[in-house]
Amino acid sequence: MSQSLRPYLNTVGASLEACINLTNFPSQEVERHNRPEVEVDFAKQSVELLYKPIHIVRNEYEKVLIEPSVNSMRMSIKIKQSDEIEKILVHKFTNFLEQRSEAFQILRRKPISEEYSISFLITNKHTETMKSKELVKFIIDFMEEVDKEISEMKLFLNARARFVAEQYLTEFIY
Amino acid sequence: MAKVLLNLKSPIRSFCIKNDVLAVAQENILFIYKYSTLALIQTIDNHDKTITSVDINERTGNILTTSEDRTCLVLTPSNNTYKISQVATRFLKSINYGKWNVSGNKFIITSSDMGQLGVCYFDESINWWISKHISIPETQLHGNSLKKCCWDPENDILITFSDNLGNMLTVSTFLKHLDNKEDLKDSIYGQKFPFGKVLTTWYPNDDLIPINDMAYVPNTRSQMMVLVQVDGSITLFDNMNGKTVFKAYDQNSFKPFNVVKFITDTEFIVAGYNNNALLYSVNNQTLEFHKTLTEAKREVPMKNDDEEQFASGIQALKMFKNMDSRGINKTEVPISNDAHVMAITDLTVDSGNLITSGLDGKLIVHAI
Amino acid sequence: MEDWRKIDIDALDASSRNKRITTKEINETLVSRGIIHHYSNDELSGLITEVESKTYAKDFNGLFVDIISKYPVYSADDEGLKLKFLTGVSTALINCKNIDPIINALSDDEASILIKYCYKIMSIKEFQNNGHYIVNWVDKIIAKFGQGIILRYITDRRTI
Repeated sequence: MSQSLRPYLNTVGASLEACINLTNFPSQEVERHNRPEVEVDFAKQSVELLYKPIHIVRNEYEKVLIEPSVNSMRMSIKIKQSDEIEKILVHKFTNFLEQRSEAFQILRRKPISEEYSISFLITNKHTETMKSKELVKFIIDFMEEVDKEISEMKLFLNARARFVAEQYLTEFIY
Repeated sequence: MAKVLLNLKSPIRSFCIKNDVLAVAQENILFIYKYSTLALIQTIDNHDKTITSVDINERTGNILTTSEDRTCLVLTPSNNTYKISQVATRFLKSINYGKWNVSGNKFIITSSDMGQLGVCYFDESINWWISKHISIPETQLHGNSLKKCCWDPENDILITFSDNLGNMLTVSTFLKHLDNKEDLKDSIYGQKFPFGKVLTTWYPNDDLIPINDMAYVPNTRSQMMVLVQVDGSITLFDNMNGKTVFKAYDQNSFKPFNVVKFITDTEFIVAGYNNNALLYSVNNQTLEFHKTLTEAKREVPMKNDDEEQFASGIQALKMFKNMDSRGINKTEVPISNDAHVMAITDLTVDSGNLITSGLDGKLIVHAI
Repeated sequence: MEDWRKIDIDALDASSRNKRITTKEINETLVSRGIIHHYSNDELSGLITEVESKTYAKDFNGLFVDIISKYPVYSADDEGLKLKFLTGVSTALINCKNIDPIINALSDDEASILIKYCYKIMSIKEFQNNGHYIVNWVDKIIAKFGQGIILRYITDRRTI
């Protein structure tokens, strides 16, 4: 693992641990409702329910945004995409996961903005059925794995392209 | 030795033990047990949303429940069952916490409705529990949801509560026909105590961080308090002068605490997101950590046998799926483990034992 | 009750009863109560000069311990000037190579202030290219003061 990746993941892990202390919080706006406050439209939101968001930035291409609130937290990851192929792969990959988001429970159907590749939404319902430590570990593992996964896919894709090209071009060798 | 009393499926948010009666709130259902035998006396399902708090009055045996469905019930014991009466709270939002006073003729409820507090008492003339409201002064920036509150142990009339913007207020709930002026004679908070008068109002620690729970330090004429805040701090606070005397953090976990309770004149217990209960003491203007009262055991790792199901597909996805289901499986580990695996929500001390409830649905007794 | 038509029904609507609080209101309350100091342009300019000269002289210990973590700029008149100040802090954070002695010299409260700057700088687009230098600072601060410092950062309403 590269030198600067460790501090990055450490910081993300510690920040997640600090933000995951969620409580049950019945809505103070809508009667008899209980909703993740971080997902409420900002213009309609009372700021006392939101805590300060955390940006952790390794460089322009790799960053994390954690938005904590009283009963939910949202985490968005920008996965490293250094060229066009990686961009396509990341897009396909995150899309695949997002379409199955109900199976993954904490995955959001859409990233919060164009800036990020994938978003997670953890509410107090999740921390009441899953251990918060495990959730944090899972997200960190995901971040570690996904980079590896993308570069593997890219290698595989290139190898295949090379193979196809070779096969195709052998036709022309006399 | 710790012993698991109850192991329920969903989180226990609040419970209370008094006079050998154990009341446990679980989602929208209240279970009433005989504590010594754990025989179920009655289940109350009148609430249709999560019950936020439950309290039993020692003198009258009345049980008070508050709920997210905006209602609040008083259960009066009669012939081994409970008679249910609604309280006319006039609140339109969730009621977050309720607490009897010692004599049992009055209780206080906190709501998410405009930061108002309800002082409730039984009105003989209409045969109904009714509520009088107290608001935080308009001039003051305040949150709209109130959290916990506690009665001044010296007089049973003053109350200290906090909102979700880190305000802490002490107000008078003096009602002419119920309270005795003499009780307030020795109070250091002033001379006159009309209903609803705001006696002190502070932002403890100047940081506007919500306060999860507070307790008066015994034998300080209600001047000193211990507060636990969302940032994980435990503060010894001078409520008369609005000064922080001492501030401590749990150096092992740095997690916030949900509840603080005094067990002797100087010793108190805090518990919360670190899944353990810790014993602290007030020692000459400082707070001192003594020991952890609950010891978490090493977990037995769970087997993961649904691996094959996801053998095909992409590696990260497989891991994703596995991690997710592993998280769930672990919390469903049955009784064998006698320590909390999730945050502690409430605690009580009964005949030398500490009883804690957790989000993991467990109610556990520990020897102190 | 002849006036029933004049009753403002909307005012009785449960969802409009609670007043929304804004960050601005919180900031004003903090300033009016003397909890945080509001920086005028002159004061802030003075601070910027000091930060720049200390960075130039490579006196990072003096800069971080004595200035940045002692005089937090929570509230200021001119946003442009504040950005200039943050640029100065960012430059200093990036150029400082010997981090450990500085972090060791900080108290809990001072470290809480320094981490606020780190997070603030990472949230601004212009500074994101050098993110890994700042991440390094944050990582080291967390290693010394524990993750409680992040919890204090997210809950504290005195924000930069």
